[in-house]
Amino acid sequence: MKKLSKELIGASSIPILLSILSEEPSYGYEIVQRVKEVSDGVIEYGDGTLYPVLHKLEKKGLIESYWEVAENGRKRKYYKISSKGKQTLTSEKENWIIMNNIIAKLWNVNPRLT
Amino acid sequence: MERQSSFNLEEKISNWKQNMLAIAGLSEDNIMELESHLYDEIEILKDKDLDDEEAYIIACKRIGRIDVIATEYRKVDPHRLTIQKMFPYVHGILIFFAFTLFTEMLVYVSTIITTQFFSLTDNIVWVAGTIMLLSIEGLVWLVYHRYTSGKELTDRLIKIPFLVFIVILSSIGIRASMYYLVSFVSPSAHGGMVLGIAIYKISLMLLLIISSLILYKKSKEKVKISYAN
Repeated sequence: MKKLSKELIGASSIPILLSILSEEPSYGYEIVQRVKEVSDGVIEYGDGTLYPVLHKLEKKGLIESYWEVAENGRKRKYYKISSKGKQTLTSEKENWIIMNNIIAKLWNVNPRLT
Repeated sequence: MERQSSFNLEEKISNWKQNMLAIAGLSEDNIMELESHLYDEIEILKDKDLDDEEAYIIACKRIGRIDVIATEYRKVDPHRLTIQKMFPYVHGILIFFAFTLFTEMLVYVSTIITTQFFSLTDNIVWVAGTIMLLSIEGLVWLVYHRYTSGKELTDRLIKIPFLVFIVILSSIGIRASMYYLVSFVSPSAHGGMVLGIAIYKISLMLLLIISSLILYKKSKEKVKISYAN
């Protein structure tokens, strides 16, 4: 299976993670699985290395975290998108649509995001 | 089945957490989060009919190498690890100051008591020496107690607010005692006492540095062994 470059995965991590968290609050393991599922395995975050990325987003105020006791009785740290994160996601969407349109025009390919 | 019974999952996860703390220097919150992830991964793998040991090995592999995780965390918060690594040293220095200042205060207070109430003016150096020896004996007893009867008592004694309180209290006690002592103790006896305290502090500092280095070396070896396992 074709894997994307590290740079592209890094650049797309903010819109991907914010999009997932805009659906509903989630925790590390679930986020990793969701990314794997939605990308058909093309993007696979290193389990342990996802957390520093989440912490970076939290530091920027794009997401918020809180601990909750899960159904199995263990504590889990959940992340949810903040209002600043929602604004960033809107702007990220615009950026990626612009980028997609440029590439689609140059290569004359479909589908386009708009 | 035999392999399953000898494998203790909780113990292995506890070792893994210790390594995370020692090698990666992560905060308790970060380790708890990674531990929760490890359990989630193990649970899913066990649902696929893997035993504890197999699930643990695969989950550890998926979560990634400790040094790689540490590098990623350091990118987000580069100063945290330095502060965390510095903390035990600063704490150790605070313990040293609290202990020696408290002993010094006891020496002066004992001297005042023996000279004022028992008129033992000629023996104040002996009194000071006895108090210092007793303090070392107390220290040895605390270390022995920590390793034989648990960390509860010593953990309470080395809490930072308590240590700061002892440092402040002892400093005030020393100043007040010195002010009172100079009025009736001869300069030579006072000088002898100050010299004795200085020798005591230097000896204790050397003893603590040597024992800390030995314990540090041993703990590094322990981490290496558990990391290899």
